[in-house]
Amino acid sequence: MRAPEPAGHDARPGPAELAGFERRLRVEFDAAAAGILPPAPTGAAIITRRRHQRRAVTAAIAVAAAVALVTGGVTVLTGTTRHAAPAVVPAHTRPETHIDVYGVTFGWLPPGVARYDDTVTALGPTSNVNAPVGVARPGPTVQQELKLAPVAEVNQALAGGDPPSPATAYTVAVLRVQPDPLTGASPDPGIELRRQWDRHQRFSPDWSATEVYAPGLPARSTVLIRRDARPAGPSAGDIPPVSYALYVHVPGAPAGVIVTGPDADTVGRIGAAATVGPQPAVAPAQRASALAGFRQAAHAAFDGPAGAGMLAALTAPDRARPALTEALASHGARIHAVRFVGLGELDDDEPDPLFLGTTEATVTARVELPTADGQGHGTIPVELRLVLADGHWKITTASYCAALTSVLRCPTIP
Amino acid sequence: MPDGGAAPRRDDRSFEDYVADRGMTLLRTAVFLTGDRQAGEDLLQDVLLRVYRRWRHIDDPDSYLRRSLANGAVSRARRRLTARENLVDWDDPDVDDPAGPADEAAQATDRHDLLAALRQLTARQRAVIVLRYFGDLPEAQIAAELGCAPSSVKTHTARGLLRLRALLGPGAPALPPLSPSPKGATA
Repeated sequence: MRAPEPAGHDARPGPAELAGFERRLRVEFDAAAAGILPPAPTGAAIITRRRHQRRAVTAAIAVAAAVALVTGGVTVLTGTTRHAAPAVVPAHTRPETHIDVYGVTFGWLPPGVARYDDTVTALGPTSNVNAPVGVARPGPTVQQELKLAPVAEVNQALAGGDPPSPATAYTVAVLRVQPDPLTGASPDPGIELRRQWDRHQRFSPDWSATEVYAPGLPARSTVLIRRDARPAGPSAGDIPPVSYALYVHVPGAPAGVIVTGPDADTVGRIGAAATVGPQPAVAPAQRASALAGFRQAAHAAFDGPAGAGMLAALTAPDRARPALTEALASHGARIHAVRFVGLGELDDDEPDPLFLGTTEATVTARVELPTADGQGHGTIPVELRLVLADGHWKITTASYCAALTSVLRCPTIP
Repeated sequence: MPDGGAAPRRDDRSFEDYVADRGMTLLRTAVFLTGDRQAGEDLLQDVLLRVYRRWRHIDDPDSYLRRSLANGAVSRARRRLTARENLVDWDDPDVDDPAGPADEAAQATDRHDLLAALRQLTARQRAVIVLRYFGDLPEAQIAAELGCAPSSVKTHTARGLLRLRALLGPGAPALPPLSPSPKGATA
């Protein structure tokens, strides 16, 4: 520790003295930096964390996973966009009038919008948070987010064009804070809404955000945020100058709702028409039955000896049929080299199904894929979305296509 | 350097290479910007997650990372101040809150600690000081990256320096590290 400074040491210094202090400060920084020891984060850890966070059906994740298979940087996927172009434009995109998201019913949606992205994210408990004695700690938070855009823009994306513009798109998201694993107590999701807002503020170099007013929905705690695009933002060209985020918390309800979009009135109307139900769950017996159904569907979809059997395990076979037919004809060996290994991220992992409703779930699976050079194979974790239809679990075509991006080009838009 | 050249490839491998090359510098920058190792790690991890999502569209990763870290650190400080009313029992009340005169005496035992001194600055002062004296950036570049006027950078720098000088004292500089400069390439 240094000796006490003489009195008046903090009087305004002269230029020479200040220059000396600047030199000293650089040395102090170097010395302090030497005391900040590894480990630093690694790119692989960031990529892995991103995969874990986003248990979702996006080609971006499939690309990341597939890249892990290749060596020497050889990959056919480096230029892949988030939404892989399909061979044929599906004509069955239909507008949504209401929608169920993780136990919340959105009873009103803007006319003529269809879903084009559907992600489930598992966020770890808030870091650096110490709950007061007697207050439940938050467990992980699960969030399902749907992106909605005008049908014409979704069709354009399905045809291999640009993704829908943020200037016309809306998102609806539902947050559910999982119970404290130690006490089983369920914290107030309002805490996690605040956290989401914090995260948004912290990591938005593209936006400046201000809280403009609380719309005052009956029996709800709401906050409307106006977001102004920063002109210097890296993606400013895609970003509308103004957008809104509505945070809705229904006191006593086990979920929080976030709605974003370019028009404040529309965002408010979507939030006002949301009905919060209980968190979807299934009984243990149903869970076991569902897991058996997941495995059966995955074996059929990935290990099937013929295209017809593989397509039968999907929710929208017509969407994958053209690409699968072409792939079997052009590089059938690579398609047949695909193999479903099991559920869970690692060999000894328990399956981790997350039920988004009684007839919809997401689960991590391991799939063996051929490497890009065809000389080997590797096992990667993929996120599969499954839907129960006519008593059988089927894999959504979007999640199937996302899992097989390295060997199959079909739509990853749900 | 992975981002050198006219048309750098932006894939997972180049992301891993970049983080391997710059990870420690980024970590140290984040720690200085927050004044705390844990907070710096959290900030860096979240910023890298964001960068990874946009990796293919980022032209200048160094500049983008610096800006994201600095903005993130300032936003974090602002957020903690504004969140205190609602979450007083959930947040550390001292981080990013410049100490008043009454607190300075309590900091006497930390005079040798640059991190402790940095924590006594405002978040904006800390950001310009770190970019200027750890990142070795000129004032004009700091202003450009933070999106503010050069005069603002001068003001924050001058005030930050005065406060640091008061906190650290005008005494002899600390001994330089025996190992080579930990910065490596400039952040």
